[in-house]
Amino acid sequence: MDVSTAQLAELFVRSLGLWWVILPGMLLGTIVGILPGFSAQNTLIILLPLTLYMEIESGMAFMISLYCTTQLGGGIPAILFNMPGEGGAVATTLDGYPMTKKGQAQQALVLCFAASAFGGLVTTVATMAALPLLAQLGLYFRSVEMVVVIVFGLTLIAAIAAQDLMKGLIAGFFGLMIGTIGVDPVFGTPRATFGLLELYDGVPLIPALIGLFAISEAFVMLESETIVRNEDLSKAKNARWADTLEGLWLTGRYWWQTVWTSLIGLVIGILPGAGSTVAAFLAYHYSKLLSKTPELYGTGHPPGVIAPESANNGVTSGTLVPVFALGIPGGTTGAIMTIVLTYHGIVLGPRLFIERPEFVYSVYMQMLVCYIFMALMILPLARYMSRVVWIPTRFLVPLILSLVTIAAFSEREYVFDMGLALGFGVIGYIARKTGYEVTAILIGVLMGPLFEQYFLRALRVGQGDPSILFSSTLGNVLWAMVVLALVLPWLRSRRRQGVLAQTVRAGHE
Amino acid sequence: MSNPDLEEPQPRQALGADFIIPALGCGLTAYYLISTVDLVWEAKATGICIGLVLLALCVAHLVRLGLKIRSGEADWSTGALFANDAFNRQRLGLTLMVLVYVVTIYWVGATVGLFLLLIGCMRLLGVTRLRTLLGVSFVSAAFVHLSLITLLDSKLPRGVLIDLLSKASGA
Repeated sequence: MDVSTAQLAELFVRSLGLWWVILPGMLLGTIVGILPGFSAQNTLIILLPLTLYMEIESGMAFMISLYCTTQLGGGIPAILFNMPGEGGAVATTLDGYPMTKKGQAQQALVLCFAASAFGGLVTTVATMAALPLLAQLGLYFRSVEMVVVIVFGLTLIAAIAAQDLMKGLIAGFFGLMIGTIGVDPVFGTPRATFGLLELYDGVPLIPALIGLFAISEAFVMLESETIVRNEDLSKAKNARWADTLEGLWLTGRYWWQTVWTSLIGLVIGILPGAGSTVAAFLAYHYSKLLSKTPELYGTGHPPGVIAPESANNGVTSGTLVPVFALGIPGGTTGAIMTIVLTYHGIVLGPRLFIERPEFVYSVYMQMLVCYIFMALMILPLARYMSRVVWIPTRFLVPLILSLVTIAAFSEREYVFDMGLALGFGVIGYIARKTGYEVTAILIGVLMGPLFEQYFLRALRVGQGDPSILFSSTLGNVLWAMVVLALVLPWLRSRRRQGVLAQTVRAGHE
Repeated sequence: MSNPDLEEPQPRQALGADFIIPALGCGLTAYYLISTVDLVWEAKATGICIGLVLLALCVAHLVRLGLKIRSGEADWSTGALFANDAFNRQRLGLTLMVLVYVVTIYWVGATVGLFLLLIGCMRLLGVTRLRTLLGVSFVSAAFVHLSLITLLDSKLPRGVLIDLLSKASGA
């Protein structure tokens, strides 16, 4: 597959010329990302007649820009109100919202936008450079390896539960238990559905996310005049452009973090079924694990915002790899793009790289242009959007409660889901007030069904023999990484205690 | 040096509310185990494994809490969570209003209901200016109606009033 530099330059200029579809796509993507309950997939399905009608190049540019900016948009409410707009932004709440509470909403938003844009740029370039190689990656990850990837995501429960391990684990397993509700993935028999048909597909993610995060946070929020602490409000109001630029400087300082966490996103994006939520949690987990200051995570630490945001944008480049290389979409977004591509007569699969390599690269070039446009809007967007948190909670709480209740309806269009979101809101509020981590509950709800699906599939392949889980070399390497992830924090804390004890002893002597 | 006899006794921790989440977890597990008795092993295996670990964790946690209560460090009270204070009354009021909105949405409609819900919630939280109450509620409800119902053709219930208005205008 040969594409010269001159051809790439020409493709870049041609992609720039598609600004008239890229910019509306970005605007729509940002709005869709901000609103919980609206996903890129649903919006792309709604807009399918429009994209099918458009020329293939402009149609793809529109879909890609919408999809990429949705990931960025999801981080905005996660940072400002502790309510992620997308599953991929859940991990962003862990450090983004504490930054807002400290009066650093601007910096947090710049970190989010810059990490998204930079991470997206890095992975787009990496994908263009290694596309044929990356296309093979999906073939190595089968159900066994996917089980280990998801187990790794689940170990984040233990990391989040560092304050009170017992409560954290109870919250995580409670979430996993909620995740088992619904029909089982092998036989299709209903389990613990309380006789409700609406729960046959399992507990829907959006109402759970809205309830556990948005509604419960609104209940907590009403205790103060504004989201920002009173003592930090004047600091937030007097923030200058220099403060906005500080976020950019912080992103530059942690540039390596952005690079490697976005590559995690790229790899996860290539794997079928994993998606941005798993990628963001894994990146956050790894970032904390390898940090010299893991104790700062969860308190408003900039790398805690950078890691999930660059990872969930890294996923966007990966999503298209199996579509182009194998003609197999890894998720709903990939499936919708496959429909549009095949409608326009594009034959997907290995031959595409031989017959029309310039087309594949043109799509990634459009993605690159979208991320460049995204980088240009970082500063003004962050500066003015951060002012939303100055609004008094007597207005914000009713608006949040009512709008997110309606948003809970959007995914499946069941009124039942609105009530379910309220139920999860009450559970989330009690959990927050009694020290059970709502993030741990949500990780369980999110990853439980995924784990079960791959676990049962692996067991079927192994004809019920659980040793199948340790049968592949790649899987075993991943298992070793899981063990390392669990043991490393413990070893480091012991080492630190040892060093501290020696220092104290030395001081006494 | 301070005299330990003169030191005020530490207030007891209110641990009653700490039992709620484990109780919900145990309840869900028990229901899962009972409702899946007749299923084949493979269909219920994951739930049983998770449920048993959850039960073990809950039991260990309850024992820990029980020991604290027994030693006098803590008591069964629920602390601020269910206290009869202004914030909790507001929370209860908001929850009830959202619940009424969800239950009556088929008749009242998403838009009209949202307008009323916003007025009610803001009034409860202390917004008294009529113009502000009506203005914010109207703009928000109109935005939702235009964006979700008109543009995106969402299946949000229209309600009796909007249906009558649509019929009257021939739409």
